Amino acid sequence: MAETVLRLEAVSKLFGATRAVDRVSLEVERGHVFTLLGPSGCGKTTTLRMIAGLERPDEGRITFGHATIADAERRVFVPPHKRNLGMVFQSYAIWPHMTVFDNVAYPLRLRGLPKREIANRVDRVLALVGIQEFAQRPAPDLSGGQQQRVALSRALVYEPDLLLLDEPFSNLDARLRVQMRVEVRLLQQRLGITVVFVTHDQVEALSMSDRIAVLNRGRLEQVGVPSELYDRPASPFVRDFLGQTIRLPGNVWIRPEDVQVTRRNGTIPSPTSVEGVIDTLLFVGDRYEAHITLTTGEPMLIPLARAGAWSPGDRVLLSWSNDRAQVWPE
Amino acid sequence: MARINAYSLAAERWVLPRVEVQTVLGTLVLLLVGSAVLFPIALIGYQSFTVPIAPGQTVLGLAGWQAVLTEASLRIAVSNTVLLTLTRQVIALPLAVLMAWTIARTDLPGRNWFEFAFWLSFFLPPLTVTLSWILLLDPHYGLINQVLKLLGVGPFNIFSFWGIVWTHLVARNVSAMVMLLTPGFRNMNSSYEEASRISGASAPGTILRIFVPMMLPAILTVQLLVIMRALESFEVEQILGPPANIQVMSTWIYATFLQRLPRIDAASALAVLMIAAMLVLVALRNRAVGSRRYTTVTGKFQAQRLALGMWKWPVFAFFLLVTLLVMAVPFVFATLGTLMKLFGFFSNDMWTLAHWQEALSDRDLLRALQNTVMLAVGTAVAVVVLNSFIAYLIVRTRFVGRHVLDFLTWLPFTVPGILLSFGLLTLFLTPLLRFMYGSIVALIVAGVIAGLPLAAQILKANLMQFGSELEEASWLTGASWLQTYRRIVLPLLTPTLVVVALIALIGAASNISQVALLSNAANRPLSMLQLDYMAQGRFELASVVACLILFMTTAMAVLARLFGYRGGLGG
Repeated sequence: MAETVLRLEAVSKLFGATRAVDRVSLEVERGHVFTLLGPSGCGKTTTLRMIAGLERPDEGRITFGHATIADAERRVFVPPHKRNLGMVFQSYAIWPHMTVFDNVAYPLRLRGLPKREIANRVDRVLALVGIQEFAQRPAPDLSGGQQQRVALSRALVYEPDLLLLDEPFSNLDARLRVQMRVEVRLLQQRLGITVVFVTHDQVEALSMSDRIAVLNRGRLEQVGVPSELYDRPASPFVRDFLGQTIRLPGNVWIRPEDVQVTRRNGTIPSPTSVEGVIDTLLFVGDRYEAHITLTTGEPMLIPLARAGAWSPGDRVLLSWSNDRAQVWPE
Repeated sequence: MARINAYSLAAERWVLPRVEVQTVLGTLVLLLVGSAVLFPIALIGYQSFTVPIAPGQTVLGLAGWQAVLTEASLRIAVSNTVLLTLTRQVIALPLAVLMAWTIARTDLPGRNWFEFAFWLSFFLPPLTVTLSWILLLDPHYGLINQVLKLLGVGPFNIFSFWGIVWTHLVARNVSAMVMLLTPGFRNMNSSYEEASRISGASAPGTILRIFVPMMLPAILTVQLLVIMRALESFEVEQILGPPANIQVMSTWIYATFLQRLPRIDAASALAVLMIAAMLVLVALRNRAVGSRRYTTVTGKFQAQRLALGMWKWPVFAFFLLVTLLVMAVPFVFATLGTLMKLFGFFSNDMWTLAHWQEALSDRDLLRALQNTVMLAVGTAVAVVVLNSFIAYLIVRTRFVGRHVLDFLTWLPFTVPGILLSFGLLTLFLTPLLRFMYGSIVALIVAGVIAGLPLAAQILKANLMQFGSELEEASWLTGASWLQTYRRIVLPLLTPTLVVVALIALIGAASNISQVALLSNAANRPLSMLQLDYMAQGRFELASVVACLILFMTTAMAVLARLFGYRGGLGG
């Protein structure tokens, strides 16, 4: 039976007249990676900062375990340093006047641990993220990926009850981003730690999360497991934000990968297929991106396998199965 | 869950604690700064309506305002001020823009050294620069004028309108602009200029059509700062003006205090007009710059330097000449002046150490030296402590009064030094604060107020630069606000705090106008002593003092540079 660790009840944050976060309610279960996903300005970071205690909610209540950590009506507010949370910032926030060791040891020193214990724990956590050999380096001498590992070590070293990640991969290059995604996910599963993760990247969200909450203009659009959100979006916003969609005649919407493209050779189109012509083919390495114009005149971009030996001007038949498609009102 | 439970009781007791600390601290700082900045200005306004009828006796009236509008000497002082300022700027602006551009965007040899020279020359006391140029351009004995006489031209009299213009140009005017403009110019992405060149524009065409318009906000801002300083300039005119019968607003105000019946009402009315003019200038600049943002660079780029080609060495020679004028002349001639038997008289047998011996045994000078050290150290400490709090409150907290505080720290920049001096004098002559008149503390108060705008600006920029996440990360790992301030904020700010302290030291050691009316024989610092010596015609002693100040301020400026201060807007 899953246990709820963190609960937000109708939490709002106002900046002047704008509701940056508008009555958001969430429940995060122990051991889960819970992701706040949305475009910039959707309120995801503000929500995370309210969980961290860096912003004060104007409405609603946040409970953590059995404790109320923020309640706007009762004017309860536990400051960030009393919440025992770990956080990795977008900029990593590695203190430049300290070495890697000092950065990671800082939370333990605040807790008054004995020196030997501090050294042991720092060693262990640096080994865990694979940067043991950098312990005595000054923090500014590190690369982006290394700084992120330091930030992660610093957030994990005091075994917080909840780890907050604010767009932690956005400053890394593409290759490193993929690698860190896997590493963080593996680490999280090994430690069994609960994570609240903020990102604007749907691939990151889909691949890392146990549950995703999609936010738009401060409001919660949909909460669910990744495949549910991808296959059964509850709103056009979620549908479009989570990936490519193609609009077929009759207001049928479908993911491009669910469309089968075959050469048109005399078959009469069924109700779940349409005709088109390949205008141009963009070679993107592992596949083609085909620009296809339907007979109805609508253009669309569909991935095609390299094996097909396609060429521009080919007449094609696009078919799909109804259980992968959704019909949306105009 | 045990650990989380432990916090549930604590949670109920934590009711808005951080805001209260900030509000209390913020309100205290706000009251302190507010009274220190606003009282002198308000007093000046009030005094413009108090007409003196006999020594120590005044009545309320409009005679002061009448005098400002009708009195010939005042009208001439105002028009002299405006004319001198405009003349200087017409020459300095194109020169400074071109020189800053050359340093920032071309492959000029030694450009970093030239930039450093301009930077250093900004910190040279104007009075010292004036003194060294008198040695060269005195109409009768000046070295250059003696050469000119042999050639059958001249003399170029430094005690004249053009002499004043020249002295300002080689003192701070051009170097301040170059120093402030260069960092911004350097940060502009060169692809804007390259796009213009590829479209077919020549190099000068690109400067005029792309570079200058894009840099206009920065140029206008620097221009505004320099004009505001030009309108208040005091000591150069005080020395070079009288022989040519040239009076400016600041010297007119100073002069009235030397009379038996000081025209405090007229001086105050003039002061109100000066502050109003400053505010109008600021408003004009804001309007011109509007919502246009500074051209800054967000991504990574490599600024491609323009090759000067065949112009390389002619331009280098020009820069070398300018550097000699702004740097070498003050250092060489201020030193020479102290070693000459009779100041300004060049002859075969003119060297002596007698002035140093006389000066160093002069009790006035020793007391002034002691005063300057106390003043400089006191000012530096007070500026650092006060401004680190002010900058933190403005940048990092949601303290309700932070915008007012921001405005108040910037306001003294619009108050000319002589007026600040005047306002504080009025304040210290009120019965309650009378005990402070003639004390070092009175001068420190003036130094702290005058130092507010720059110190707060530098610290604010530094705080913004390292972002709030560094502190937030500390809170989240379990550090309280105070622990974070001590272990994260202060260590990060330390290099900048040292720089702010050094700049405050330099200001306190060399500024004249802001302490001119507050000092008497008891608390007179070196800078005022130098002015007094010059007024008495004791130029040899004045140049000894000038040398002392010059070497003190130069040493501190070099130290500040070593701690990373580079000048520039918001840097």
